[in-house]
Amino acid sequence: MEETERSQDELDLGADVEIHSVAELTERISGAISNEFGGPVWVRGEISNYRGRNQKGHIYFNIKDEEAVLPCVFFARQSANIGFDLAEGLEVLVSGTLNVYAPHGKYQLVVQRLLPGGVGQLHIRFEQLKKKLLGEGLFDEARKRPLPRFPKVIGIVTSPTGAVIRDMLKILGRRYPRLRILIVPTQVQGDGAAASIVQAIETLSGFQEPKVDTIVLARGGGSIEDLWPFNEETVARAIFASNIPIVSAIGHETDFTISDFVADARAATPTHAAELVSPDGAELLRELSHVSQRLFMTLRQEVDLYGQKLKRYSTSPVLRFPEKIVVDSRQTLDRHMERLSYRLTNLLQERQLQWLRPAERLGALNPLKVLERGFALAETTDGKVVVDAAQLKTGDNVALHFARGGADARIEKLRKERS
Amino acid sequence: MSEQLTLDVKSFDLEQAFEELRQLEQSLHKTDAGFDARLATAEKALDFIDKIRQHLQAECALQTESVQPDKSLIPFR
Repeated sequence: MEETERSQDELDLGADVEIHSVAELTERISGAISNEFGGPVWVRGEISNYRGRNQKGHIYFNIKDEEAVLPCVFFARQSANIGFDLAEGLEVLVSGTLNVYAPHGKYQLVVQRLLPGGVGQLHIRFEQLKKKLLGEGLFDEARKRPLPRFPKVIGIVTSPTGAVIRDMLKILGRRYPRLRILIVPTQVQGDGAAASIVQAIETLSGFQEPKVDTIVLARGGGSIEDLWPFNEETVARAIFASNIPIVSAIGHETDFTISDFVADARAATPTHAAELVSPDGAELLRELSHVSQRLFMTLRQEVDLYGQKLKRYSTSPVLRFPEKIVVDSRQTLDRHMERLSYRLTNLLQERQLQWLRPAERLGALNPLKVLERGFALAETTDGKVVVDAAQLKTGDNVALHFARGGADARIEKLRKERS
Repeated sequence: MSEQLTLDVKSFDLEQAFEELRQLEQSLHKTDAGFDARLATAEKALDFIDKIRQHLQAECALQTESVQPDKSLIPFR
């Protein structure tokens, strides 16, 4: 006891020692895991400690291998449609995110997807091939070719027996029975299927007479193992190499294969592929009706327009009473003439007044006017007007001018008068 | 213009027919062509529509063939 107390006392907690709470430390551990495993991880192992769903529908179990155990939780929402029964000892491939469940102080995998072991292997192969071909550009949208709107020959790569080809032919015949269909009987499942599919694609691509417009790869639904040939690399590369547009129609709507990604178009189902590659005769007839209507409407609108113009013209007063133009113009002319005459008269009167006033002023200065008032103008013999008596001397002759007539006179005597 | 338009189901080029119809319809909107010319275009287009319609409504059946390993064709059953 003394020994223990002494050792506790002797503990030297330096200033740089960081002490965590449990929660803080757990939080840091959780952060470290998140940093290390940012996204989903895939883990393969064997189910253990499986107890079925709890009351809330969640599934808790471990997956383990010979050396380790990983607790897992598969919540009800994610595990609702796993499609098979889980069991103790079942080999599985699970995907999920790692986290730390703090109340129990343990890390665990929150499962998003769970696949049976064999399927899991295929899934991994699928993802790896998908990534590889994506990197090589086999899925590029830019290289995908449009499907011909009006194909003449369609090649179908599928099993010659079964519902798939029957359903497709039924739809093609109903939509557009002018088609020529070349069916390449092909093994679409099991060993050798991939090679059979590749050969069929190459056969159709090489056909010259008739030339194939579109190829359809078709297969009904099945397990991932059944559909696997369409996930083989050789098939993907044959699709990519084809010089004819290819539609991939494998399985059901929810099934995706590598072929779907490489093909020029993906159809959700084989029957959908039949619709995709063939024009719909009924729809074309409807389209023709619409074109007819549009043609009619286009011209009808124009005729209506002409009709409106004609109506406007026919009701126009100008066209109904053309003489009115002359009458109206004459009235206008008269009105203008009156205004012009009035204006000119006024203008002349104004100008006359302006000229008369200076004339009157000039008249007042006229010497004849002065003579009219009884004055007389004396002029020397050399024509000078006499204004000063000093201009004269006794005995000079002068000419006198009156308002009317004149007289010659002699100067008898000069007077000097005040001016 | 498809003067040689034929109602032979096999040789009838529907794509070309629709394309020509599209062009006719387009030229119908060119008002500078004059009404008479456009009326004639519309008549041609309607004639075309009739021929395409006849083609689409002609009796025919899907021709299905099976490609043999030697690439020969036999009727598909």
